Amino acid sequence: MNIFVSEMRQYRKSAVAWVITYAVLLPLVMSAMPMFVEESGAIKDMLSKLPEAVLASLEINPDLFTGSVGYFSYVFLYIGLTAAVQALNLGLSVISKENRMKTVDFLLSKPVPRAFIYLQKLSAALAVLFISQVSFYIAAVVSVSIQSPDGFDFKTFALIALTFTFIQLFFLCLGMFLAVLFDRIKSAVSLTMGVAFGVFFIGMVSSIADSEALRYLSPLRYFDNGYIIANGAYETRFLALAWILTLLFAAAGFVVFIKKDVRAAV
Amino acid sequence: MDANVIEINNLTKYYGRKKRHRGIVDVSFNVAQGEIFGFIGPNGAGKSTTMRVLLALIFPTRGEARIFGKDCIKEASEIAKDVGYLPSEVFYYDGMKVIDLLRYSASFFKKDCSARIKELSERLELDLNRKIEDLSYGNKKKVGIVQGLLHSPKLIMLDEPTGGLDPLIQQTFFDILREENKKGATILFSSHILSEVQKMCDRVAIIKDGKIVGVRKISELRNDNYKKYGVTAANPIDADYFKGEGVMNYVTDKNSASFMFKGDINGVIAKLSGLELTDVSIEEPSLEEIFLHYYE
Repeated sequence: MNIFVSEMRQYRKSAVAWVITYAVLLPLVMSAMPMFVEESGAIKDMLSKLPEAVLASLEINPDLFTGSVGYFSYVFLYIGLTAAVQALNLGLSVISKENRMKTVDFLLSKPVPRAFIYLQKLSAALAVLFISQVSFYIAAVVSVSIQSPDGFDFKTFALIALTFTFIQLFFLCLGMFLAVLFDRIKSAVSLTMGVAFGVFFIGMVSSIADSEALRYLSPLRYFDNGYIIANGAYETRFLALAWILTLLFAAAGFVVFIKKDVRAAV
Repeated sequence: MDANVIEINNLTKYYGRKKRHRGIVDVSFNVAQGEIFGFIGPNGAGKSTTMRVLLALIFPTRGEARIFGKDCIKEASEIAKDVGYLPSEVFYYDGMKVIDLLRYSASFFKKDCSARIKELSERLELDLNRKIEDLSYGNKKKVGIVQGLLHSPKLIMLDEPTGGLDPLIQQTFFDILREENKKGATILFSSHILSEVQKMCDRVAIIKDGKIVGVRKISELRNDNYKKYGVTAANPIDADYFKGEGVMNYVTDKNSASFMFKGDINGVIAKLSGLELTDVSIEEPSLEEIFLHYYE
């Protein structure tokens, strides 16, 4: 448990910062909704004049602006990105900081099996993410409720909101796997930004080109909010893919961490 | 109980995906209970590689090592309970104070180490309440020392421990190590500086290009009876003049020659008397010079 506690202590400040971000940002953005709804007729007119490709790239479906859940699903595109950034950065740094700070020899020469070290680090990261998720879910329920005086479709809302957790788990495991594999990561933040925005961009392109193939390369697009709203369900094959990859990265990271030579600090 | 704390048999490590980069090849030696054992060789010879295998930080290509009679890879975390390790690199977690790191380190061992932390840091003049990242190189090194010794380990492994320590602190550090040794701790000590090994150790293993070239007692090395000769003559000295059995590190330059010699002194004296000398010196060689031929 000592590694878990120490990790939690090290991520205390950033966890608080993320909690505040979600708790403040989401209600703030959601509060802009009445503006869009009041003007929804005008906005629809305007949007209908825009080329299809632009709408696709921005993931704008004119119907999104008519209800609070629709508006939430639009906002969530960017919230999902921040969720990915947080999780990926955490996954990368929870492993790579030991190399960067040259503490890896210190930690791995202690009387703890490597498996326990990995599992404690994973648990600590999950705990940090869990706290952010609680903050996100509370903020989401509260702000959508405020914008929906006549109630809202809770199931659709929940399906969309839950993808926050899926995205975070996916990117956490990906980050830990990458950090185990590449033990010379100098800056977790720059790699995070590169990967996250790369994936986001590929997602945009896949929407414009309406390309299934590209969608597979963009984990952020595994959960298509338009589809969820229309069908009240996830796309099974993308949901399965997301979970299989998440478990695969988690397992691979674990195995490599246990078997790998620790490079000497230089 | 087994008399050897460390037993290394044909330990071999090649690095890289294709196992091309030599780490160590067929390293074998034992370290007895209660011994202070030196491990010396130039940079890149394989000292750290050997230690890192012993600590299960890296995995051997073949061969095995046992510590306290246990397999150093399979039973690594069991062994680690009684091992204190000081890495050659200084390290710190961002934002941690000295005391935080030491408490974290102590939390891995199921004993109360607080008195020991206090005692060691006082002797090494280490301020517990400063952030580690703000410390000088030498002070960070002290954090490493206290961290390695706070649980009173039975085996202490030190990888190039003295870099950055001023002579007084170095002396204190050596005193602490000797006390630990008196209490029964075995010490494995790697260095490329012979004089510090000479001061501390009972025996040394010499490693060069990944291979052990000799394991010697320090006392034996000193009594090796090599003498160092320096000769200057009035006339040029023949390049082969002093060559023969027992001569090493032979260097000539026109009128002068220097070499080390072990054997019958009379032969050398006879040769000396055949020259018209302007200067001669016969001295005790330093260990460095004795070792030089291992390194070459």
